[in-house]
Amino acid sequence: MESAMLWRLLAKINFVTSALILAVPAYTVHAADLKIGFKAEVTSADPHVLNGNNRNVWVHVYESLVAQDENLKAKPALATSWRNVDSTTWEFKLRPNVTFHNGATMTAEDVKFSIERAMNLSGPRTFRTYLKAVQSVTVTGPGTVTIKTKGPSPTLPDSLGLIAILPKTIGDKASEEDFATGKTTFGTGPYKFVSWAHGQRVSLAKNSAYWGEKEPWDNVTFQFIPREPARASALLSGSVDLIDAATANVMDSFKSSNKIDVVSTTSYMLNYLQLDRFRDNSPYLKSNEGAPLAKNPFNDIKVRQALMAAVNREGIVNRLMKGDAEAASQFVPAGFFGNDPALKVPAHDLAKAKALLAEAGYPNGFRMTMHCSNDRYLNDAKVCEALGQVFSQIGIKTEVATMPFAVYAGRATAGGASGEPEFSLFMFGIGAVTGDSLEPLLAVAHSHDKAAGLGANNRGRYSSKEVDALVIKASVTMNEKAREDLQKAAAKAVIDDVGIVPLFFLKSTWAYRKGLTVKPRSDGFTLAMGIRESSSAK
Amino acid sequence: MIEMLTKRILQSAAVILLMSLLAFAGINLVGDPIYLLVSPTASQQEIEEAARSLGLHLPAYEQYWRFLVNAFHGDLGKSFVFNQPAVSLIIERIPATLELAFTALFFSVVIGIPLGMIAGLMPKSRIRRAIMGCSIAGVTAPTFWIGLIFILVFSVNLGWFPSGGRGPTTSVLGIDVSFTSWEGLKYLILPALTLSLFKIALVIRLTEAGTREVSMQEYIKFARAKGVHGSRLMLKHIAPNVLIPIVTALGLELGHLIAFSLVTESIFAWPGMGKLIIDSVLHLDRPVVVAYLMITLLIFVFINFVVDVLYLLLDPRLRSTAK
Repeated sequence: MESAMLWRLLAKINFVTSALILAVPAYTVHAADLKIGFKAEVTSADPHVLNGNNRNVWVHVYESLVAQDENLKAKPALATSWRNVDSTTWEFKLRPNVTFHNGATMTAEDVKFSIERAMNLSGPRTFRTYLKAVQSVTVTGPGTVTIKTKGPSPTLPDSLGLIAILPKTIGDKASEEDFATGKTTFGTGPYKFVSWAHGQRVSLAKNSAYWGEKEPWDNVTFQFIPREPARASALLSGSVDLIDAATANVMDSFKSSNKIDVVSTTSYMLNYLQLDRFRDNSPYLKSNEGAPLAKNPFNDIKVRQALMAAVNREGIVNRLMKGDAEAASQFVPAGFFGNDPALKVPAHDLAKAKALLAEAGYPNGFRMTMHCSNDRYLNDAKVCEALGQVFSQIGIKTEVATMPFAVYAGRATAGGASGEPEFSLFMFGIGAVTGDSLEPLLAVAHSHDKAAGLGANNRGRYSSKEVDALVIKASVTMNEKAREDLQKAAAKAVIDDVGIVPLFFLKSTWAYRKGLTVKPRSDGFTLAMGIRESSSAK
Repeated sequence: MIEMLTKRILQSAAVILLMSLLAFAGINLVGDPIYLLVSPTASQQEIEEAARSLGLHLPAYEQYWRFLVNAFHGDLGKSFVFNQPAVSLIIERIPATLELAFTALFFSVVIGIPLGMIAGLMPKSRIRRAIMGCSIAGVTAPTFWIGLIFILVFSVNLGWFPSGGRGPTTSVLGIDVSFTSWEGLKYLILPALTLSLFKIALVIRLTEAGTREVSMQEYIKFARAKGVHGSRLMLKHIAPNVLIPIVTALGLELGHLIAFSLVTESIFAWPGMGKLIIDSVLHLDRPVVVAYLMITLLIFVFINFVVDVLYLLLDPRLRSTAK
């Protein structure tokens, strides 16, 4: 990216000018104010409108029954405990004496109201996907809520961790404007809503009546700074204390400054390749002469294994992504529910890949066009160009076509002549938002079934009876240990069969002024609750 | 006269209709916004439901017809991303953009005109060469580069100004402005200066050329011969004659300042219309993009219409041909 080059140049000028001027910017930050330079812009104040970046900000104001720790493991929040009454019934015990920011005490009625509101909200961005298992929500005591599910739903507590609990008194009619102006913006969280200036910032203030540990910050501001160099300079100039999405492009300037610390962690976002498995004559696979192939080479496991072995994951991660990613061998990174430590990152072995292709009957390879987005995932177009080169090296002459995600997603999902997926080999990303591999397994690895909503992201139409059986069994297994074993087995089955070609997990990186400590989170969220003034600085 | 007016009104209406069709077709060709909106793991059924809730399942011509009918009732649609009326989103950001544009205009006048006059009055001096050299740099250096350099020098190294965003605003006649306090001004100066650099250079060059031309005129020589010199000669005799073409040029440039502030706005995270429109194009937020184009078009059509009417009123020859 040219901005990286420019930024390096600027870093040099930076060095020279600071040597000339000898002016050190003074950090005039109040001890108890925290300013965050935030890449995204908040687009909605209604916490039941689905958007990860909005949720990042609103979890300061609203809480859910269940919270997620740094590694996305469920921990008690507004519910102190939960249990299965039977396989389709969950019972949540609510935390007593919790008050909303408007002074009202939180009751079971508020919980019922909030979950039902999230299920029935209209519009394109809702949490309905996560609540589709819910049959009914009933209040079964002053501090008890019982949720009936349509079938066994072991991941329900994780899903409920995404749903903000609001006071029932705001009513059914509460509109986006009511939330944006603060009229109905009452949660139970450690911070209260102060204001939202569109396109500029969200300001929050400490909730001194919070039920849990009180926060050290009096005021927290999320300043929206979408452009990378601008975000970096805001940090360097001291106008913010911390920035998110501090990628390798701006790292050089932080290294030359001795005032900045950096922390990063592997996120849940997996980038992977999917292969066309449902057509005998895949439109973007051709013989070396440009004629259609007799059969789809991707239906031969040797060809798939050749692709798997050709990918130079370490090279991509270290040189192309410059450390902003971690090589992936499966659906979720280590530490997540369903990660199988026995699955190792496949070795980069061009000779083996060539041999496999020859064994499969393609000693001279074939021609292929690979498709990618160019504005969705970090360095997506560059990654695809690199992949095109290694595939060409093993004899599959690869052309890479990249396009904006808005065009790409439509074509990849339904761009074919009769509404079927269009591409032959293509890259997507998927995130295990709740820290559990079940969601990606259901969406990517399970056979496509429109009516049941399964295999929603399975655009290659990969289908394996063994995998389907394991995934479905896991999705109704209430015992955690048994379920994790099933998910591990499913992941292993998909990878052994090369149902997808996993590439890497993106990393989340934060840069902040020295003197702070920051707990990195796997979901990439920037939470004031995880940012503290380190004791040594005081 | 009346006939001419109705003709102009009909023409304007046709232009607006045509433009709305172009805008609508253009943004529809770019791609389907639904995949940018729904949860990445949403099933096909949920995607279809979401598309229905936004009216995206209808054929394009039907969507356009709906848009026209609603637009006729003054409703340009709701933003997909913000779930708010597109028009109010745009109007909300107009003050920030205008504030930036007018401040940049102010800088270009107070810096450009004096420097241009100095350069024009001393055609052989080194000062002239220095000023003109700088103006070439100002014309050629790209705005985004200048912006980054300014941030680096003035906010990162010197720490004089904040690196981005808009400062605290106060309400003046119901419009939020940030130039009333020093704290707000600090946020305004760097982006306005970045935006104005090109204009400053332009004004310098225009003023310099004008001053040189005017100072050769007979009446200036006569004034000098009479003993008028110094500031009186400059302000009374040269400046008024130099300024006329500059005022005309700046009037035209103001439109450009408003329209081309997008780069500056996105570097400095200035919450104006330019940033909104860029973000909306990236998110394929069709209602906002179309509404932005329609509003801009309405303003231009209206200005042209008023100018035409004024010409008709002022110039009797046009009236006679209109009959």
